[in-house]
Amino acid sequence: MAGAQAGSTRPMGSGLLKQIALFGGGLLVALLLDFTLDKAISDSSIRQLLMMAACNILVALSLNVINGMAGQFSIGHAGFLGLGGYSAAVVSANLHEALGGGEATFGKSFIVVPVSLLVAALLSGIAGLFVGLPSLRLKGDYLAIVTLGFSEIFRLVIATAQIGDKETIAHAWSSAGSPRGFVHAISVMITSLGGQNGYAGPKDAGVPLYAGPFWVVGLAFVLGVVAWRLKFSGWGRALRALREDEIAAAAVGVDPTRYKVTSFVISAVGAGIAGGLMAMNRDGTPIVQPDSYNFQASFDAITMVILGGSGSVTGAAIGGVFVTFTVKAIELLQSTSAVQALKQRFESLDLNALRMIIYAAVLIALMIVRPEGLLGERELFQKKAPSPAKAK
Amino acid sequence: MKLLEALMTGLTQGAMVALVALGYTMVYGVLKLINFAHSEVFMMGAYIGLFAILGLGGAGNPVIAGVAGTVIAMIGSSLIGITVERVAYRPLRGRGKGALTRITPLVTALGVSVLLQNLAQLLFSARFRPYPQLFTGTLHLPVVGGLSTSRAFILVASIVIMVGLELLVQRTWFGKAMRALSTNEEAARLMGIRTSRVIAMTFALGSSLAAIGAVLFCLDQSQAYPTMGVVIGTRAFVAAVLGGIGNIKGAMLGGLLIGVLGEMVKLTDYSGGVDVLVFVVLIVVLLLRPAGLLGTSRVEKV
Repeated sequence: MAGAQAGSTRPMGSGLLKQIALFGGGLLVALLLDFTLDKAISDSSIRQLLMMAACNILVALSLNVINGMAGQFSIGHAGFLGLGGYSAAVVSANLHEALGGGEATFGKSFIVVPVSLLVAALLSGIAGLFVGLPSLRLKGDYLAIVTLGFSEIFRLVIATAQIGDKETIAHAWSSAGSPRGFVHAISVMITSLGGQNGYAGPKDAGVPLYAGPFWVVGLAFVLGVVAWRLKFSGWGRALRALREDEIAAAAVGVDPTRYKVTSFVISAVGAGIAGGLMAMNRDGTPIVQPDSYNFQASFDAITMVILGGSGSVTGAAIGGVFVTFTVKAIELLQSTSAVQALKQRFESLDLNALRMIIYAAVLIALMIVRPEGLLGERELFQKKAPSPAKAK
Repeated sequence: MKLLEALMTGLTQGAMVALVALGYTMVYGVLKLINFAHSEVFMMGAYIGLFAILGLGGAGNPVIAGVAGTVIAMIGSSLIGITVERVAYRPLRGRGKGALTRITPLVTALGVSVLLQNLAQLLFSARFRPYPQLFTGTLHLPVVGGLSTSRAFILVASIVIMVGLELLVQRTWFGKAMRALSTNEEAARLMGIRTSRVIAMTFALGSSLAAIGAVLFCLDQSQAYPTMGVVIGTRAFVAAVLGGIGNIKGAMLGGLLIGVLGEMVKLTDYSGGVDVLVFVVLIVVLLLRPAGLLGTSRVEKV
């Protein structure tokens, strides 16, 4: 592939050193943050906001792979976030029990967080393959509706589970010989996720919150670098060629289905990690609820990517931070006395609905006036645009 | 007997889904765009119909309130549909380059959908509003058994409308123009068809059908709420894909199939699984016959 050759002709020595320094520096900062953030910022709501911003950067980065780089349109990102969140919560809670419970220490997090995130990423990736393969094989925008269906069904299956019967999972599986028993066992497993009330560990003691700033900020940084490298790799270039002209790209040997499905699976894996981190976030709530993964969450993710600029890694990060802060600002606004007084007069005033209306209107206007978003496909901190003439 | 009853209910449900699916498929036919806002036009139609029927006397005056209310809902929905097309889709037509030409209309379509849904939440509040019952009683039919009057009416009305639509598309000038547009926009324009006007009329027609579907749906389910468009919209879209998107007869067939399938599921233990099944149907169709049951796949020439 042309991209790979272009990569190898670059002077590697100093670049590699620089990258190692960058990586090490980023991780060191994240490590420092883990110990100092509590003391530096005493207000837990601001800490929560910062951690949320880091998580949302991951959300935007992962969606950017499929919506920005590959030029497909996924509108069910919340489904993969939810799958990641629930699986990370289940794994970490059970692992926590197995490790003897107690406090969620920093040392133990080196066992719990990687394992939970691995499971989350794996499950999301498999789901991504299952959703992406049939819909990306075709021309047309089937991915949009299939992802929407997937995320809504994921949420509804968990939310509408009838809680009440306290049959254990092990007991249900022991009688799962027949197809009927098998279905029953699955429904018992779904029921154990707590339905509408949410999942709070096997003994309702809460999901252990292992992911401190080291994990959240560190992973946001590492995966940001990964996304950047992906974009400028041969793979990223092939993807861009495919996005601009599918027939021409296919004619020079880029298999459309393979590249689209791979990028969708990568996007799903990223969403799984992001969702897992959100569920285990140290400054978050020790419970995962189906309502956090509704369509609004998907739409927020789309807003992040579109606002920042589809296809831009730094743009997605900016979009993620921006949306996080807007959500918080609306929350703060909601508690002010002026808004409360307004609410007394107009009972149906729903600030969240108002926020969505504003977002939607901004998005429509942006698409008409400046469809490429804030940065377009450019990057901040990019020295020069990679010109195909020089790469050869 | 139980099976036959479920079949009749399924056909009723399916006929309503088909009415909404027609809007998706017609717009896709002329613009090659999934009109995400269609489900919200359906929801708006339900609200306009509700207020109109209540304003005209509601259940106390079923014939006039029902007919006039439906007509008002159709007009209101058409206006919304045309406005959506004018504001969010038309400015984008023929603009942009590369991937943006495909993605941009999808984003605006989604934006309009979110905007309308939250607008409804803001204007009408999120609570469920009861719909006046215009029909009471049960019909006793031979073979099938009992069928509520409103369901019988829905079935008959939907079939009449679909036959009317088929005549409109096959026999009138507008139908011919629409079919020409969906086959080849450029050629249609060269033949003197005002494409913008035909597109606007297609939106109006699709939205009116959605409004009829919404009023009929509410007569059956007897409530209206801001998120009602999502569930029916997804089912209708799957119906359109199942029949072959862009194909009008396909949408009708797909709608009826989805309706019957849904009612059959309700006979089993897993009555909550209707939407899961609808999703599975979509995946299976995309895997096995992506052009749909009645659709034909076209080879793209460079």
